[in-house]
Amino acid sequence: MSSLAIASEFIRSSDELRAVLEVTQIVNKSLDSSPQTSPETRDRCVLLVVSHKDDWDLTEEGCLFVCKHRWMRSTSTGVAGANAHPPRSDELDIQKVLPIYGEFAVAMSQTKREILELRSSIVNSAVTAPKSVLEQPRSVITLNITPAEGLAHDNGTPLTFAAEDVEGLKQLLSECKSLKEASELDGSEVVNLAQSTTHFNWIKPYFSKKTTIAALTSVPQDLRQVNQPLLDRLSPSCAGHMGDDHADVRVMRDDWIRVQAKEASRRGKQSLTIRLGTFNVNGKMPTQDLSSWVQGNVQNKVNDPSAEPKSASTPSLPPLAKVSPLVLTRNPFDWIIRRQSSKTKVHEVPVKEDPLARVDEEHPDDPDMLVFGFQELDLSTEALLYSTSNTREDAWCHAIFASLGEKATNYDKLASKQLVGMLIIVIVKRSLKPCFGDVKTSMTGAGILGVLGNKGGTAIRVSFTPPRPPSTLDWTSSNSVNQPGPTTLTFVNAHLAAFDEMVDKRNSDFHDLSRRLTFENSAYSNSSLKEHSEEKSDVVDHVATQTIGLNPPLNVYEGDAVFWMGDLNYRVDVQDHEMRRTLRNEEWETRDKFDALLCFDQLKKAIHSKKAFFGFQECQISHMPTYRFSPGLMMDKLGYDLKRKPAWTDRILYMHGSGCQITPGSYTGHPQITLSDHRPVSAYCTVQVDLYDLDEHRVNIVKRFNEVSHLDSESDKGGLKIEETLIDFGQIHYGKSVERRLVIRNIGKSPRAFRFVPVQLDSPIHPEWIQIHPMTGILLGEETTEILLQADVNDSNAQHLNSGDKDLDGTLILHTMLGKDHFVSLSAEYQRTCFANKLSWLTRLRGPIRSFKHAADLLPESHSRNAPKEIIRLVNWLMTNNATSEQIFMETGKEDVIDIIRECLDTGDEFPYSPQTSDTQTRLAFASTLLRLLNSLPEAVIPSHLHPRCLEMSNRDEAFEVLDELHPAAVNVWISVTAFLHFVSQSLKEEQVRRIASVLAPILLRDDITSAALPIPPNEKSKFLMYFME
Amino acid sequence: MSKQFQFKLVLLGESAVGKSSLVLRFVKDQFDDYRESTIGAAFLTQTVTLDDQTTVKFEIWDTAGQERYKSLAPMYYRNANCAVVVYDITQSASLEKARTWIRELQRQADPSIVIALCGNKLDLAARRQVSQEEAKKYAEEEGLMWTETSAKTGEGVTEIFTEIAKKLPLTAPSAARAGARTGGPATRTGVDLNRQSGSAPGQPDACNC
Repeated sequence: MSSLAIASEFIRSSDELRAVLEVTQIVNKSLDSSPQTSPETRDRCVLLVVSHKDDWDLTEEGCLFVCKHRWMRSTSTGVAGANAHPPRSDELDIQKVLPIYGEFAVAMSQTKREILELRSSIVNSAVTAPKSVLEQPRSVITLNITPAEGLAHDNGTPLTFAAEDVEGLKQLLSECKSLKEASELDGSEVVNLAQSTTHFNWIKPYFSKKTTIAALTSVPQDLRQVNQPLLDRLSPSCAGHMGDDHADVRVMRDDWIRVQAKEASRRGKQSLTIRLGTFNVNGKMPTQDLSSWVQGNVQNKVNDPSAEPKSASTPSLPPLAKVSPLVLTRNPFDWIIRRQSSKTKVHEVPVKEDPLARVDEEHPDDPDMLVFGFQELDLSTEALLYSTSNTREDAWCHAIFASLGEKATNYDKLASKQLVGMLIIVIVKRSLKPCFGDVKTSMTGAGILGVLGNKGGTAIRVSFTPPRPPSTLDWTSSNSVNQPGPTTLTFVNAHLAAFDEMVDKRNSDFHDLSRRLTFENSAYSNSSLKEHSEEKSDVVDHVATQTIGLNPPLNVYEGDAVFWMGDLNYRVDVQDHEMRRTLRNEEWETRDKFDALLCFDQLKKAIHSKKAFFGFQECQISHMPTYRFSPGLMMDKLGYDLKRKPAWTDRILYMHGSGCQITPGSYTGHPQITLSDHRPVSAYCTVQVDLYDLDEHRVNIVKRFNEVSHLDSESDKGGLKIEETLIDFGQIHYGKSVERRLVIRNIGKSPRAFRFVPVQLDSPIHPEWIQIHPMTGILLGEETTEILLQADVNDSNAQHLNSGDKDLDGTLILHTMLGKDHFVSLSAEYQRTCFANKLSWLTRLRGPIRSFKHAADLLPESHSRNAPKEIIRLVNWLMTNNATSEQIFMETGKEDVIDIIRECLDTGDEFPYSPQTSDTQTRLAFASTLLRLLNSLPEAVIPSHLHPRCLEMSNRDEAFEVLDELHPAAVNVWISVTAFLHFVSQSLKEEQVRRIASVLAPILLRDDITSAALPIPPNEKSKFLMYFME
Repeated sequence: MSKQFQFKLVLLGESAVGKSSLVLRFVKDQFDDYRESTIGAAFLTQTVTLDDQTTVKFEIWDTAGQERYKSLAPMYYRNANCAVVVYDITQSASLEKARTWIRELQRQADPSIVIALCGNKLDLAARRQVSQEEAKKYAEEEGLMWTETSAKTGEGVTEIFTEIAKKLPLTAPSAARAGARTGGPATRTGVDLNRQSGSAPGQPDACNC
């Protein structure tokens, strides 16, 4: 291909190629102190004059691009030198871009330079050069190019090139001249290309490729973005209204490259264990044994490696499942259903995963890292003003090592950082110390005046490179990792604003620290970028550097995982006396009690409402509040200071990316360490670090990049094709999801990106009864993918669907980025259900719900039934049935039988099960159906606002008074259900009755999770129900 | 100095009258005998040059003609500066459909929208069901531009787009210059250059009437 053809391909469609000239670069002699002469000191370049007309105001700007041909890389890993002359590829690499304005100038001089061995010219073949005065055989013209900002920037020397093609040169000169005249910029103005949004913005896309590869290889993605659905990171878009597709495509592309490259490079995982602790020491010195906090109870672990460190005096609980920050949204009674159904379902044999190889196999039970955060290390005013002394750090460090006992010799301090009272210490196993590197620290004051260090944070960022796997492992030679890549871990220790009402300040402190705790970014300076760039260029990549602003500092999220601990000072929005009373309540199961209180925890609420710490996770809290203890007389029975409401102020949170799974082990307080007014908190967790080869990962990134590098070009060849655009789900029922697959094929050769868009900006992308996975994607040329469409009717959408048209339809719009919108028509026939409706609506149905057509069919409210027929049918059947009640409500019936019963309720058909049966399974199924129907009601039979009244009732007669407040339908449901329970209770032992009450009470008196009031204890609910059962 | 303007154009009309073929002919000067039905909306651009060195860039939304997707059409014709409503001269029912579209545009679209009625498949004039007189009379009554085209032979295709370009209010670029780089669409009367904006451009400009 000729340079002209290559250059034409290279230029974006929005820009115009004005001139092309092949030249040879001459490195300025004044810099050339090395003995090198030719030919390394010069290289062949292509100069392009490119112009761009602004879409907005039609002004024109021009730039001179200095490019080099990219050489084909030989298959060996060696870098092709300029001397080797491997075959030239049809791609150009930009070396430099010179905007044409200001002092930009091209000076020309004619010199005979026979010593230059110029290769035969294959210049601008489109131009048949006429004879020119300038054109003399073998003569060479020297070009001196002055950049727009003058010569001050480039060491005072212009770029110098030698050119042979006189016609091309003439064209280049005239185009440069006219573009400079067209430039609107003042001669004295200097445009900062990195920051300007008005001038030369159009050249940025030319750099995106080069800079992105560098960024993708060396800068980890921000975890806050990694954990956000991709669709949420794209610009708003809808039918007929494209968003910023160019920018969106880049976001999608980068995400895709990172995920794909990491998956391709991953050779396995190893587990790194970390013990974390946070302790507000209230200015005290270490006068107590800290071993339970520092290393947990090690004795247990020696005997039983699976046992988690537990402290003897805290309530001990089974190992904790991973808890999402959205835990607040779950239905608190899901566990009832789960508990019941798990008994009858076929027990799945748990898939025993091979335990991950430990990074340290010699002492696998000891944590590999110990990270401790302290607050209020030193409360003296001197410390605040001149925090220079680290005597306290030494004392606490010493205490930590002392607490490690004989294991202390296995550990070394890696790093620490102190700001006034805040200290963070990272200790690692001595044997692993060489694996840790790139240690960076940071600190930020957020206290008085927003800067002083009485509040704020200190942070440490380390990279961990797994040790080379020993040969005993199953890494075969073909699977070996030559140069393992690092995993970056960041630890933040923070102390946020105090006092109950300062929650907004705490939230803003968090954001302030997130912004201001930064680490120097050394990634670029010693980076892969230079080592691995395909040719070492003599031309400094000056503009590119300016354009993207290299070396921005790294924030705490730019790594593989971040742990955030400290005295975060968040309190519990519950009345003081309620808090203490609930903590003391021994009849309320500890975990459920804490769950109920933690619904009002300010930190949980901040995470849930995205006000602060959004995206962070925390283990289940199963320990008592760690604040505030009083040594004196002013304390309650549990030892908490009477002047301060108890709270979980001391917390350990974490966030991780896709490649760095964190499995929490334990999370506990240490009440036996009483030296401070806070109790220390510790957490133990396992981090799965990726085992990958650094070089291979770079290669994979480049490979993936090249696969999708043309994603943002507006090529209209081919495109996406949807195999079937009419998707019929058939009949859809409550509780039974129906799946369909949308097959998308890329019939073109170029990669394509797609996303679903809504009809209008503020409308949902899909109907409420549909789920789509995934919502965005990238398809390489001729690739096919399937998108899962799931129709799902559940408690959250059934109520709405029940009152609407039974013929459901909708249109999905799949938008090809920079291209076509595809329509997909959805249809389904909804089968109405009596589940998940309000009682007051069910009683207005004339017949079974399936015969309901539209709102006009409803009975007037004055004529509504006494109780929903469906519930009465279930209760009647159960009352008539004589089978044993031994396990009733304690075990779930068979799912298929439950489905048949529910279908009969919906259709009005007779149950195919006679009440005369003595089959206990059928009885259990009827009881389960009743339980589920009651649990699906949008509002509990006794709504949560009446629960406090239930607490006050002390006998059966009083309890009946509460019923006066209920809707008539609810009264009748309550009466008939409790009548049945009363009937059942007569044949059961008191213990069994109590258990039945404990299952039904949380359903009949279900809490409203949106309620601002603390729920009443479960034992009180049971007590209330029992008045009606006995 | 040349001037460039940008307008949003939408194609409407019954299924299988040749909307996509017209666009394909206009944008790429190609024709497919067997084109699949458009299920969605395709976005294309093409520039026409007028006599006085003025260029008009059309952002074209080629919409699905099937009745099933009719409710989505307003999303594509909102903010449009011009619409080409296509019928098939061999199918009289398609002109009826075109009338429906035109009524909808007159009622719902931007009041300044330029509407062209276009009878396609002129190469099949032997099977003509819609007479020139009938269509032309209707167009005159409604104040529409009208022409007949053949996407297959290319007859009349470029012409209709050029005629539309001439009809559009071309504001002098210098008038829209001040603060333009940072300004929103409000500063650029009659020129919809900001397809990201949800606001309605294309308000008639007094000086261009």
